[in-house]
Amino acid sequence: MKYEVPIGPIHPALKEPIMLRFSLEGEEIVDVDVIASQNHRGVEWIGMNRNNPVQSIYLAERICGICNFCHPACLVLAVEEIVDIEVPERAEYIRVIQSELERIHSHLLWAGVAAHELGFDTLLHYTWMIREKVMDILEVVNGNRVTKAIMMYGGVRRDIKEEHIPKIREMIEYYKKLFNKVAKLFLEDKTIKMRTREIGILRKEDALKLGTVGPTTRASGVKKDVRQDTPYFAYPDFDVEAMTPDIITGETIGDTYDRIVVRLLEVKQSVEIIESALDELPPGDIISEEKVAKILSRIKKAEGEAIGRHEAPRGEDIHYVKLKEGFESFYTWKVRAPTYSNIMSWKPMLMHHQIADIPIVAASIDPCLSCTNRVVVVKNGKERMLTGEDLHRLSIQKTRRLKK
Amino acid sequence: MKITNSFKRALWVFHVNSGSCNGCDIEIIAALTPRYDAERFGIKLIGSPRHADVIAFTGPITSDMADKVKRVYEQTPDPKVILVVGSCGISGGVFHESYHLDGPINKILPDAICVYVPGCPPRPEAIIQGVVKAWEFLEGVSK
Amino acid sequence: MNTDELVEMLKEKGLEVKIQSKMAGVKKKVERKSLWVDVERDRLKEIVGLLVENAEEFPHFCVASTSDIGDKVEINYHFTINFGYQLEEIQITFRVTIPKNDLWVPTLTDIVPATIFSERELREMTGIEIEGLPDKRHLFLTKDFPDGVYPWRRDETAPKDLNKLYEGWKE
Repeated sequence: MKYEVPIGPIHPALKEPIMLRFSLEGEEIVDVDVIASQNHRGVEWIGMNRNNPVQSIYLAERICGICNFCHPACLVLAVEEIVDIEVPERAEYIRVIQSELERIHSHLLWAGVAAHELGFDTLLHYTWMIREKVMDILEVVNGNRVTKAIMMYGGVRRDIKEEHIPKIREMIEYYKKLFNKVAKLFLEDKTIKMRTREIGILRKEDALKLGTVGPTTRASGVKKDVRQDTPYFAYPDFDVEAMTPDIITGETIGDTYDRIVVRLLEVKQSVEIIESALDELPPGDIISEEKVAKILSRIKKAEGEAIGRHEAPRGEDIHYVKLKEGFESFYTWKVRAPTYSNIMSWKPMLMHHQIADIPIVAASIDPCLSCTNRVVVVKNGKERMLTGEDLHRLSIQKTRRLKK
Repeated sequence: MKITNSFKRALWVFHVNSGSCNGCDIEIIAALTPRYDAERFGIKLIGSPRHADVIAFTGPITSDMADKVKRVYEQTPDPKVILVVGSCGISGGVFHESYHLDGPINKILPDAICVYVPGCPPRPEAIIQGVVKAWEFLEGVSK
Repeated sequence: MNTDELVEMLKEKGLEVKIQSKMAGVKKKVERKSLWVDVERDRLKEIVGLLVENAEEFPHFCVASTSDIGDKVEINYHFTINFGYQLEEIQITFRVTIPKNDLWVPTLTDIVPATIFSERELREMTGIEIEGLPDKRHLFLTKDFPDGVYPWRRDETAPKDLNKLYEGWKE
């Protein structure tokens, strides 16, 4: 006999509205359905019909507030390829540093949210306190903590000045000292291992067929990383390698624990990339064309199409832009955020698991539904609303049961 | 601001996301973590609107979420205040002319009492100031 | 396989390949290439199946995007292959052009399961019929979005009921 339980859009478990429908048989999940229309704001339509290209950079930033460097980065890559705009060397290095700073802040944010789903509020407060160090650096360099407005066609808008560099080096030392402590807190805790080992397994064939991206797919053994595969910005100088969990644990299973391992390894990799980028920062201009009106008139005369791809903290982000001569806005703009491809992996991950496992497995792909644009569990023909509070409570109760 | 005896416990906040970009949501949670630490006043996020005093509201209201927002507002008992965080709830923000939006908050809940915190996103200190203003209002009501 | 082998294989099947490139990198200058191939609608499944058979690992499907060009509609399917090595990925896009009075394409979900979300989105945003698609519900638009209104088209089916707040302010 099958049950269906709906998890409605407003719930405290996931911070964004999404409807999920799970079919249960007894206590085991047999089917997952996602209804994601709560976050659709029509961003591509606004970019194609109302905005000029520079306004679309600021609109693209607000597609997602957590990964807000990746969307303008892809857009700028695509338009620079069509219009053939040159970018100075210092700007490429600053773009790499900004992108890695964002990766550190996003992974530490996720670590706190994952700990909260398991019932470890102390770890939530600890990781978010550590994260404030990188937010301070973002504020000093960019002027704002979130939505920084740093990208522009042809370079960046703000420079890393002489007085900022000692503060960035102090942040690097701080994180290097703390890395081992955070790794021990997450990876050697018995309860976290019990809740996450062998839970939410995604096999390598499923990860390839469903087109998953980012740490979700690297934890299953697929070596996909746009920084390693495709040359853009200044990444070819750094020889970036895709991080898979066998570097620390020695084997690749593809469960939730492996996804925690991959994200912690990536924080360490980002700190090392920022350090070598700072050592080799070339001097010079930061933007090739300073007047915005000239850039806009160059874009208006161009015609062509291109794609821009970037490795966001959650996976591969891709934008497709088509420009037509004489048209002020973009003629066509398509955005595909990383969670779009990863959401389909909830189905093979959650099969034959219990309801109490839903929060941690769902949070382990790091869903950013405002990027995607969005759980109902149906229980034996009777519809029973399970709010997010119920889900969260069930998850914490399971932790307490396992601890006894 | 005097904390009178009539309001015997601290504010409980219920957070509603009606399609926002998450920038304001992470600044609300950052206001509760040890750096800004609003939790020392007893302000905490809870899981059900039936125990809430303040509804912290983010996002431009998409067409899908309009009736759900109204239902949450009706489920919260009086006295209550809506704290609108971010420019999206005030005027639509950068998304104002989209085909999938149902207008800023005063079109959906015209007779609600709101404290507006503008910014895209506002800083955690600004959000705490907004909560304090809501607290002062609730103090005045319960006298 | 590398770029030249892939171009040869597609030329044998009678397809023209256009290559776009841009230089990237600072100290180590590398060229970033992307391939664009025009395919007819009837041969789409055959060519995608050819890519799946000959690539070393299962090809990665990124997204399907579309443009409205007058009385025709273009659909671009973006794939990448050859990931996993340093700087050797090949970005390839298959473009299908269909007239507006005969608006359908065959589904790719039986060959590449990752296309299901893209095809649902194409269907609701442009009105293209996907033949053989198992799940035909709305993906991003609400259930009560009016029929016949397609946000990505530029003709009479584009949305007109906009949430304009600032009309009349200048008057």
